[in-house]
Amino acid sequence: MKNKKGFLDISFSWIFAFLIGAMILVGAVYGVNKFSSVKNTENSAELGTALKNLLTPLETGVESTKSISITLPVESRITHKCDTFGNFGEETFSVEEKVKNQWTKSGVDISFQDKYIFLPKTLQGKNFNIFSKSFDFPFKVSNLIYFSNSETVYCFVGFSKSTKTELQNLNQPNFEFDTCPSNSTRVCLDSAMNCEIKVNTNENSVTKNGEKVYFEEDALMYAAIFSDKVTYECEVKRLMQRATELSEIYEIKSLNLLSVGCDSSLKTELISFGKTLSGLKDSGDLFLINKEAKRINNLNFGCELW
Amino acid sequence: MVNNKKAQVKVQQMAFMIIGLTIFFVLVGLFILSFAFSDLKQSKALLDEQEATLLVQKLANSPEFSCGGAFGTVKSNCVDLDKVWALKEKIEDYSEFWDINGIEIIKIYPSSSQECTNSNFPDCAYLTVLESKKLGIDKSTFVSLCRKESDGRRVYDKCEIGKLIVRFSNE
Repeated sequence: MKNKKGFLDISFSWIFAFLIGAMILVGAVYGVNKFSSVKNTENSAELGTALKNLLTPLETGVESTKSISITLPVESRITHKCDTFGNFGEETFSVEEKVKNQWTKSGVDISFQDKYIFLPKTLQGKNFNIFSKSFDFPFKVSNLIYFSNSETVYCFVGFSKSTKTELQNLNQPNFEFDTCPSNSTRVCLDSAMNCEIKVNTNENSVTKNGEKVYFEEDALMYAAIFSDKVTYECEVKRLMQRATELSEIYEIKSLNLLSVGCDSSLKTELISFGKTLSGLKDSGDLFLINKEAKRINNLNFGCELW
Repeated sequence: MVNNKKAQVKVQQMAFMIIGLTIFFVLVGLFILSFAFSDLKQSKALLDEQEATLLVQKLANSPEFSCGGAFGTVKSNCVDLDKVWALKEKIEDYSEFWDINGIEIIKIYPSSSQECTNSNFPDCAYLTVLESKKLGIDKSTFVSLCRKESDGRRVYDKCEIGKLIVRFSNE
């Protein structure tokens, strides 16, 4: 009987202390976990806003091209989503950071309606090279922004001297020309070579991963090179949405200018151009729209609207 | 009976001790949290300020505002007033485009207090492009305000000095 009592000789106060101690420990572990997840979200949100602020200067100024390089504090994964709803569509970025070999999803997304960014659906790395180029169709629509991972070397083969000079002037360390390193992504112009990205100037197309998209102007050619098909087609639609709005603004402007005796005679042309722009189904329609854009641009003289 | 009472006092003592300890840990936790997040508000304000400054510059050079080649060569910080007047008619479409609260353009010289309307444009002092619905902070940049003008015989380009003011929400 005495033995039995000894075996179970744990007083109530000990049991009570164990229980409360366990509760404090569980509470502390939960608190630390919650705190670290909030801190991760804070870091990601801060990174997102900083990224947004870094991209804004790429859209300002009168230069035709601009470039920057960014280094993120840790290995990051940028996921990109593009939508065409509303008047301008929207693109959403989410940044995940690699913490202790695990991707931390912050849940904080950054959305833009006024930026047109071309990159693969998911871009992973620590150092990114970014450049922008003005897109005029025929009036300036926006500056297009191109992202590439600094570890992916793009080798441009057979491009014209002017294109090569333009790309060389960007000083992007991951761009090579004509002599390609073995591990590079070859971008070939009108070549039968076995290249990862093929640019055909006869039909103004870019073929990448077996998928073909169409372009007009160099700005869209770079866009097709640096992004995937889904992103490219979506961003082209968004660009045409903005061009439609701008053509309507120019149409109102041309009407208003009649009062100062300034007849640009582009009003009816702009109405039909706006309809053509909004009717774009995919990049295959760009050829016809560009033809009309060029025609309108030739009529923009005397009392210039843009 | 005496033993029982002694045990009850001990349990009570321990309970108070544990409650005290818990409160102590909670206070320490709160102190650490407030210290860790004290810079959060500051860094948000700094990033917002940075964003606002960049956005004003961007807006002045955006296709909806910039002069482009309509007044000779392409210029930086040049606002096409005729285009902005046309944009005002379409501003509903742009209400969420730039993620800002309000846009105003002020003519610095000649100074006047008249708001631009259909009847007095362009002989007016300030133009509300996007009406601000909420309170917020203002950021501005000096710009050239250019438009087409006529003296009855010919059409010429007229540029004046102005200010582009952008209002942001500070929430």
